[in-house]
Amino acid sequence: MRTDLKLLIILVALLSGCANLGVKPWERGQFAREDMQLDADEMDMAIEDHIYFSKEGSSGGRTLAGGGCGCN
Amino acid sequence: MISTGEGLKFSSLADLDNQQAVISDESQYGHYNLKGLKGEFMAMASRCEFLARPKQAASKAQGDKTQGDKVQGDKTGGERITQAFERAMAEVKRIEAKYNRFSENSVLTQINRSAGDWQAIDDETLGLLKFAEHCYRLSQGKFDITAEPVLALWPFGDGESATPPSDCQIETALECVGFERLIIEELRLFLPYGMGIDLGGIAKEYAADRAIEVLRRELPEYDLLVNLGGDMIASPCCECPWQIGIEDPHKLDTPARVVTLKSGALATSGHSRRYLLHQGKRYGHIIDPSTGYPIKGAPLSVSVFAPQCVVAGMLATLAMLQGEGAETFLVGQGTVHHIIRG
Amino acid sequence: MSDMKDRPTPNQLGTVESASLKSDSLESESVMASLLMASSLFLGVGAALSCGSALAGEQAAETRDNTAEQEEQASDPLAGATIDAALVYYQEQDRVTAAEGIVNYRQALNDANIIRGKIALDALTGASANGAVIQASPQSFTRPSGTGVYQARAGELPLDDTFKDTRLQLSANWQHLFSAKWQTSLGGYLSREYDYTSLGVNAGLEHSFNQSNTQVFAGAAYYFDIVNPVGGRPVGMSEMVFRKDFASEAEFRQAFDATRYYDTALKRTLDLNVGITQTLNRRWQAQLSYGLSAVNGYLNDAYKVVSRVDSRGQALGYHYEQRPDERLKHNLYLMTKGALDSGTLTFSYRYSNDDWSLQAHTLDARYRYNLSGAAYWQWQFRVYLQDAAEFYHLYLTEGEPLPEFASADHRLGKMQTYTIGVKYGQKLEQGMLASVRLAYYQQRPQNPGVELPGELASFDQFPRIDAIVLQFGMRF
Repeated sequence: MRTDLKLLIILVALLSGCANLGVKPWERGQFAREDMQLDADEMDMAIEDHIYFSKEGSSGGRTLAGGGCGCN
Repeated sequence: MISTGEGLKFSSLADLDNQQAVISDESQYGHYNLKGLKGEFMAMASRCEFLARPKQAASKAQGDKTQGDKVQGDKTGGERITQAFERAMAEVKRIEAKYNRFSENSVLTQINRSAGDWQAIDDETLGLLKFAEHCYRLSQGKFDITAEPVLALWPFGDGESATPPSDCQIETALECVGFERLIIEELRLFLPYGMGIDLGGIAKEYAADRAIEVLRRELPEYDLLVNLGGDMIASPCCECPWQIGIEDPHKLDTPARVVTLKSGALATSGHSRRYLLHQGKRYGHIIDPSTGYPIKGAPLSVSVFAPQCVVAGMLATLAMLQGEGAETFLVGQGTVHHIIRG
Repeated sequence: MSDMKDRPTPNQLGTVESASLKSDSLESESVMASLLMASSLFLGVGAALSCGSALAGEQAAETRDNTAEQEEQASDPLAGATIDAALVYYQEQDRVTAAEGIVNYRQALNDANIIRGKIALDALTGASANGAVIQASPQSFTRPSGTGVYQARAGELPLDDTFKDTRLQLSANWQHLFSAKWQTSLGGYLSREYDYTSLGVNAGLEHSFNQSNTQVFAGAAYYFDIVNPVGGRPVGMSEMVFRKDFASEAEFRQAFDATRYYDTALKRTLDLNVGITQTLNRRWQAQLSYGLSAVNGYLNDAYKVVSRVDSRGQALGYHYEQRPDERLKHNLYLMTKGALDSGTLTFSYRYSNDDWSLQAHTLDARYRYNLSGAAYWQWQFRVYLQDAAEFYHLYLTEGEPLPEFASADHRLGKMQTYTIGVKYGQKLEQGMLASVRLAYYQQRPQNPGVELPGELASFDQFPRIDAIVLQFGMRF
């Protein structure tokens, strides 16, 4: 428990420390690509999440999506 | 000669007196004894025409004996063609009105005016922008619909002895150029402040593709040809090929070569009158928007066949942007093409 | 054009050289094919109609109808909708088989509103481990309903073969964009199967700033589940009774009922999630999120038991499992995705921990390689490492007091799992995208360090599970 909170703090610090990270609006071309969308594999991920949810002891993390099911 | 609608001028395909420059020559089909109808109008700063000619199978079905004067004699047939031509013309004019950079009220002008902020765009505009984006990538930045500021610096067409822009001018202009600075999302567009879009390199070909679709839907039993100022597309599987003249840039208005078009599109890129002579140097007419300078060894004109007009037009443009490599590029694509060099 | 040899400026020199270099890359792939694909996206059918449609007269007669149809299409409310459909087939070696059909529907109503809907139907059959240890002699188990027994052969893992279930899942979501910087979402969820019902609501808020380089988001979801296991819920830690030990059916029934609750049990889940997505440079972006999940209510698996064994490792009885009725889970998720010239690369890591002291690490890597604008391959590799929950017991020991909580469910034990997957996607006419995906999933349960007395040691008490997933997808 303590270790993961520590890790969280370090990572948040890393990200906020880099507030200058990023690109200019006209440098976002790559992110407009269809395959660069964060939900490009949404269907696959939902299917996998459902399988892992029913086969493994922990679940979630990626998104809120999902929900209850009697398979676990 | 019938005249109906707004600016749509009709003539029988037997009237050969109007045929000039890039047109089909009906005398080639004289022995089929088939006549058709031609509609002409002005749009997108070009002479535009629609041609319809009954397919032989269709005429046969209606009886061989009367086919001599098929169209003019068949009132409903003539009316249907007229109507179809009007619809197709309306579609071309709609696209012209929507994407005319110089019109105060066009959608494109509104988009350009809203530079500096997010704005909503419709599906059609999105489609065109996505296509432009695709071409921008394919050409590694040489085909760029935001290139107008840098293209405008080169005074082609202002006479043959104007002054080329200075490096400094070009550098300044390049600050407002670069398709990758646009952010295109499903519903919206971010056009950075100071930038503008010019769809002139796509809209005419797109209009031709749309017009042939309208005509095909309404006149399925006709061979059809849409010609928007040299960018043309025929309905698939025309029974008699259309004869197309490709103009020679050295002798304008005189067909240099006749090619046949049985289906698909033929588009030509090249502004034969455009070059710049300055202090004895001749500057090419094709500017690379990624540098702001002319491309070396660009052909005078490139004509390419492809299934669709936007594709033919873009291949021609991309070939032009290859400069000296135009031939190699098109041969590599396996296209039927025609390149004229100076 | 020999005079073109004169170059206007030194700048031009560089340009020309780079131009000729670049032309190579243009030739390397079919620009024609690529353009055709791109143009078909916005031209629609285009030249796709064949010339075989020679029934000219008929077509002429239908011309007006077609026009009417065309106009209808223009105002078609379904225009601009995306439909994702998938068929999934999941097969474990000798165990569970599952088939699932999913349809996702997404529609932008206008600039500011997007709705999504999902329907999934799955059917599951086959056997799954009931938690009991492997023995040198055959074992019998009373079925969850109390009627009849199922058996495990000597030396084989006891499997409950009564599993047969159909599940329907519906969900809907409404996303509203207040501006380019603020958006919210609101959703509902329903999942229904024979012995389980889940209802849920969720809401989220996202803010974009720093020139759209940073997005922060927060969300919450609440699920309300109703559990009605077949044959009631076993009383936790109670011992399984057998018909053969009773003189009459009535006596057996009385004893069986003493191990059961027949009322409905509830389970409530509250999920909270906060995160940040950051653009790192022109090609890479990263996401970090933290999720908290608080669950309470009936968390047992009604069909799982724990063997009670003596010092020789022989099973003397079976006790229904009992888990705590509360669980607090933490998840930390870190993901980064990058654009390569020919594809994308995605890595993610998840760390999970909870107050059952079940810890897990998940690493996932995906590489997508675009063959062209129209086709791609995607490879995936995933590793999952899990430590056992504190109340995980492979068996209970005869003579020792029964623990308060115990479960032999291997899903709460120590394990490693691996997934290797490959997917092929191909764009079709009219912007459709077809895909097929094949994945191999291997689960390796492990001994968390328990002694294996007597005959238990002669068998692999932690057998592997191998499964394949075959998935067909179509996007319209």
